Amino acid sequence: MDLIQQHTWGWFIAIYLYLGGLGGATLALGILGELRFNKSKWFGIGTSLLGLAILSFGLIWLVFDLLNPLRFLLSFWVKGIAHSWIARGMVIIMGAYIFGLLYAVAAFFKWTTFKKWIGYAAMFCGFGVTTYTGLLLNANVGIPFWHTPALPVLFTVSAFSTGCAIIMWTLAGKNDHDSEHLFHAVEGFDIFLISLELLILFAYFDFARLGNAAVMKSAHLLLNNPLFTIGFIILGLVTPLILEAYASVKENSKGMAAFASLLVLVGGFLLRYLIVWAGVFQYPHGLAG
Amino acid sequence: MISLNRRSFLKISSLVGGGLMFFRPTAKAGLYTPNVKKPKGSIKYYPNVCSFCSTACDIVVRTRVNGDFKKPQKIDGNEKSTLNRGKICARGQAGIRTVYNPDRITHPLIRVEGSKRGEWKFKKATWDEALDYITKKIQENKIQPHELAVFAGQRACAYEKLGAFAFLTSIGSPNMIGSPMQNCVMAEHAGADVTVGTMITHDELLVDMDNTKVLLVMGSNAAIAGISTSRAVRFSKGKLNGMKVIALDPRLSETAAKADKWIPLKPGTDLPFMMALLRLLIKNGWYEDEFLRRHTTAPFLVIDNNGTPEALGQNIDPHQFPFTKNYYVYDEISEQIVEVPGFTNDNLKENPKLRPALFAPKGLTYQGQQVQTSFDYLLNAVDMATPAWAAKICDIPAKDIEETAHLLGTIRPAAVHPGWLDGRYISVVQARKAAAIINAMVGGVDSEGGWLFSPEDREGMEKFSEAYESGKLNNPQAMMMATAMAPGLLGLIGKLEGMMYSGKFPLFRGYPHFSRAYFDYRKQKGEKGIPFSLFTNAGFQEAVEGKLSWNGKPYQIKFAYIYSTNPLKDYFGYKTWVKSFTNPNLKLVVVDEILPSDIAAFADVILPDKTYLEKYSGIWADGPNTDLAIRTRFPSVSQIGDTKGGDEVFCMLSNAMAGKRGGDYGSASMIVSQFTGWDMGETMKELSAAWKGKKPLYKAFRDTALFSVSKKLNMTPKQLEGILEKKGVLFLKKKEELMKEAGMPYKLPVPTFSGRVEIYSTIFSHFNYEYGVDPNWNPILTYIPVEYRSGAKEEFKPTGNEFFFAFGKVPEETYLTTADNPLLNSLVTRHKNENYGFWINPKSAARLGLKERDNIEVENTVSGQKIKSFVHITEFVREDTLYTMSDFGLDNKKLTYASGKGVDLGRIIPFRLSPVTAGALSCQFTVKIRKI
Amino acid sequence: MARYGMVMNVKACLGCRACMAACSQWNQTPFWADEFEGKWRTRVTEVEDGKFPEVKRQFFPTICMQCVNPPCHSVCPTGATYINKDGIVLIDYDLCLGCGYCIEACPYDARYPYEREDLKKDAFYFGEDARHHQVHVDKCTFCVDRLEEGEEPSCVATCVGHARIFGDLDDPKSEAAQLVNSGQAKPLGEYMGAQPKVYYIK
Repeated sequence: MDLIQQHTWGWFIAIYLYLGGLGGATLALGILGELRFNKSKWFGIGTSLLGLAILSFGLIWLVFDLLNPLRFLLSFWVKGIAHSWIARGMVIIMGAYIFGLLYAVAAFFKWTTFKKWIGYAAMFCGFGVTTYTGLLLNANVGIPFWHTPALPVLFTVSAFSTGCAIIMWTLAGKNDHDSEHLFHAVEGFDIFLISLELLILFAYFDFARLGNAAVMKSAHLLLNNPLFTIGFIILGLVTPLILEAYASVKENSKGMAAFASLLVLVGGFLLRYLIVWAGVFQYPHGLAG
Repeated sequence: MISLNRRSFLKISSLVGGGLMFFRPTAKAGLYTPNVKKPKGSIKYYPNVCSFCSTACDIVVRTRVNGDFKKPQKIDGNEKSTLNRGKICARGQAGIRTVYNPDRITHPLIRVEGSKRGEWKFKKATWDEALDYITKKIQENKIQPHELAVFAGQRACAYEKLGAFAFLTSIGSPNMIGSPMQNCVMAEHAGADVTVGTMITHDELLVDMDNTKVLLVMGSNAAIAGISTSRAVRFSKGKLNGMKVIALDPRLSETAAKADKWIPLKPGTDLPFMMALLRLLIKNGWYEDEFLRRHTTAPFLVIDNNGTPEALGQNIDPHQFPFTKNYYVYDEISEQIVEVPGFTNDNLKENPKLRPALFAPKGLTYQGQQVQTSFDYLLNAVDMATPAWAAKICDIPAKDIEETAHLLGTIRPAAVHPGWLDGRYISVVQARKAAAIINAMVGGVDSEGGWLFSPEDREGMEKFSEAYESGKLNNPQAMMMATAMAPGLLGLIGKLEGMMYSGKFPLFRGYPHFSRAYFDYRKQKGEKGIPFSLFTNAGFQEAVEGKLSWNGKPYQIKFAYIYSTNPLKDYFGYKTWVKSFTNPNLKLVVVDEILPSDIAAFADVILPDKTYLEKYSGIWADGPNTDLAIRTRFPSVSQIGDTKGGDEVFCMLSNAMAGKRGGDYGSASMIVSQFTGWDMGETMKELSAAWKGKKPLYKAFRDTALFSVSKKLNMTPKQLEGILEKKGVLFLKKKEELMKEAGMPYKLPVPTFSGRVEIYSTIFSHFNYEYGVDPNWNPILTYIPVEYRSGAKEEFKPTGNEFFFAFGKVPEETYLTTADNPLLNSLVTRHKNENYGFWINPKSAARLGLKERDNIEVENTVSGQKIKSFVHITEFVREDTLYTMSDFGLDNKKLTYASGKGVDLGRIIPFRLSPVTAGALSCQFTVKIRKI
Repeated sequence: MARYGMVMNVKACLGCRACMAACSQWNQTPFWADEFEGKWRTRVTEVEDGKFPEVKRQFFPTICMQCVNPPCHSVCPTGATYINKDGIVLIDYDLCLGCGYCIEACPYDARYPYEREDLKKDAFYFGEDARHHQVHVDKCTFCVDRLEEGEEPSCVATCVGHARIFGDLDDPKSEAAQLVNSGQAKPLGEYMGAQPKVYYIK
């Protein structure tokens, strides 16, 4: 086996994966909040549009990463949908845009039933976008560290955790009861997600410990990178977990929770970037070089 | 991030404007020529002959032709060729990149007045201006014909020999320096050349590896996988047919990598290895008895004369060629000493009932003198070479030697591959001789699976032996001309002693080659001459410095014409050569080159050469092919810049040297028609046109060759040209037929002075009388110990930071001639550590605390030369050896791709002449390395 | 309809790299990108195994494996990567976004980007005969244009060591099919499931 670290994908893709997940999760969580927690219509409109804006900003990075950015439109060509995760992703993203915007319109005009149906569709698409970012990497059969079903789960959980962080930020300034209630619900959900993320990560590295050479190499790269161990694990996961847990049992702790959310956002990005960076090809012996 | 140029902007706006148009791609759109109209013209295929190494493969050039405009698209091997079997190497593939190299010199350049040689200050000129400048300098300095030295390099040597000879005879100068002869090949093959008679300069002799079952490869990588395509295709086929390969090389070369057994013997110890093999082969009776008795000089009876063997009857007149009336053998049937003819292919020719003994009875005498057979002498010479003795010197297990001998001795067909360009030590000639003797002993001469002679050799020997037997060669002049025109060794010695060194050849106005005058100079210093040294540079420095004289008159070189070679690097000893070329005694230096080579910087005038794809050629034999075939070149490139072919320049310079009366194309025509057998009248007519500037010399050669060759083949010149244009190569006879009809030495004599395969060499014996007795040219075999440096004898083991030195070749390059090719440069730069640094074994590296790519200074312990480089750590090399590539190290800044990359061997290998061939003793020293 | 495949006889490869040179000249691949090792459609790598003197030096020819189930094809969002009737995996330059997803997905390192800088160099070296006019991802095509002319792929046609054997794997008479069917030649990295049509004799 010849192990070669991948170098084709870098910052741009990582930013896209991050913002895609973040945008999708924000959209899904925002609509969920409005539909299930009876938040104001402006909350629903605001978060869904914010989610879409983040998604659009993410897409720009993807487009910049193309050799031929002006051919971006081609990615909507349905031919690839049968097998390609970029093409499928584009359809899901398109769905998120269409349903998200329709939802915002419905929310504005208070078309209650329609809003609900459309809202669920938009939520599904938002969910899809978060999962898709993991599936995108997953399809690279030559990189065993990515080619595992755990990766989309990890990315989805991480995306929702960052989505929670965004929602918490939008709610942080509001002091009405509903907002407080939602804030703490999201806070609790985030604690759950971060714990889950830690668990998945543990599983991931335990899997790597028993995995093949390329997976071990990837794990080795990550565990030896302080950006990962200190930056992501300690500051991006463990610290916010403790802070949020602490905040959840304490009154008037929104500031602390908001700070924790900021760490979660940074950590989410580090995760994407580092997972992309640590992709190691496992070529048959002799092929590389 | 990605800038838009206008073209793609337009495409995109049409894309946006056209909406979904773009979702309907055609099935093949974008495959390889998307949306683009093909350039004008149609595709045609022109056959040509590759020009990158001496293998001279048959190629076909896919060319886009639009009216008069031609542009080559791709080069492929000619599938109809049995030489390279439709294949070509990376260099052949990269040919078009040399033609369109952005560094190419496209106009004549004249050095700016007041600048120094080596500075590269030139101004553009026209051909007329350049010629006027040259003519003026010749006249100002009254340069005589013998004061011109022509450095005829790679292209001249391999493809334009005829033009070069015509040029020299037309001006009457003997001073040709054929660079590859000396430093590329001659130096090491002399020992084998004198044994089989053919010139194994590089590919003249092909081994029939398709059928070989055991092959011992000696020498460096260059000959097979390093790469010579005609040999490599045979090697590969042989391997697929089950050939066992044993390779001797201190590093694991591409060839050794393909061997079944790699024996990493110590650098410079080929001779003891071969001697140990010889001993085992003889002691075990593992040799072809019948062949040795009949077709070799092994049964010749020899006496001891001043410590050197001399055959009974040997012609010992140093002023004659060593043709001899009779030799003597011991007949086992009549138990008597009997005469055998002096020049024949078969000892039994005149008396089929003879049984020449390989071993003479003890105490045999002839006219009171102790005599023994050459084979006896050989056995005595190798008797001390036990496997244990050789293993100790070679630093390998003794069982490797025993196994090799067993394989070679007991499996047929077996052969020793003559190899090509290994490190030269003082013992190289005897080592090669031993290898050739082994090959003859296992029956590997002109037999299936063995060394095959070229059809040219067969044709030439048929002619020569006919003339010899007819008695027409009785007068010395006729003998000299016939020998000089004969193939192989006969031709070489004929030209060397008859024309170049005699000082009596009329066309050269009584002057010999300057090397001959240099031998007199050496004699004054108590040194011997260098006998086997045709077209060498030996004595060039002294000739420039004015130290030489001939017949009491000073013999000085004032004008150097350098064509397709780079003496600064090719000839080793960089500083020595810079000193010569900057010497003010040298009034004129003209360089004819395609690219701005290092030597071009030292020119007064640079003339731009044409590449092989831009020219016609004469009708040539199919290189080293063992089938009889003819071929020629068809240009496939339109005129580039203001270039002219190197052979056109020959005519111009000839005229410039001759002054008002013009060059003597009459003599040139005579030599050309003698060499080729072309019609004299037609040759004269065509060469006259060439000398008068009416057509390029290459076209003149083409037309006269078409005229004469087509006549022989009973067709019109037009028909012949048509066939050649269509097929590239016209096959006349297969190798199997040739071997049957003209097997050498089975049917015809080989080109040695006895006509036999020579275990006892008649020419080396001759040198004993001409130059004095010397073990280096021992006629049979003797052990020559190698001294790496003072105090480092044959069993020396380097310690500390001291290493042996070895160099070799990469398959992607031909020494320095291809280094500036953009494609080849990329191929080798991908492996820059391997190619541009020094290979060192990990154990040695660890000992010296060196890591990959650490910078080092390498010092030659003999010459004191120092260079800076870096290390590449690899298991592919012996622990006591430092290895590097010979293909790099150019430093002319005008070479975009090659400049400043790799190791310049000329700066670590000193200029030292070897005793037999005047080649460089290129690896006989040790080096010390220091981390910097 | 054919099922073209190639057999690489690693034992026969001499390491001369004529194939790389031939390919780069026929297909105008970016040989000029000398600091970037990936820009060849076919490469010959070198393997060093063992310790002196029992060390093995092996030359390893690589190329697009022309998989039956190509990961690059399955990730291509636009269908620019397609499989032609003869089983050759090709790229339609007009449809290629240059997202690089296929480069990343290929488990055999057979693809590289043909960038704007490369287009300039292509025009510099080949003039009006330049074949590449838009940025795209590039890979081996088995010289499909040569096959149309009845010639072998350029790397095969020039392989000095007879290490590359090309043929229709459905034609039992072809040397390639025989080597594959006899079990002598095996694909690399079978576990990845791409089902390569390039087989190796090691």
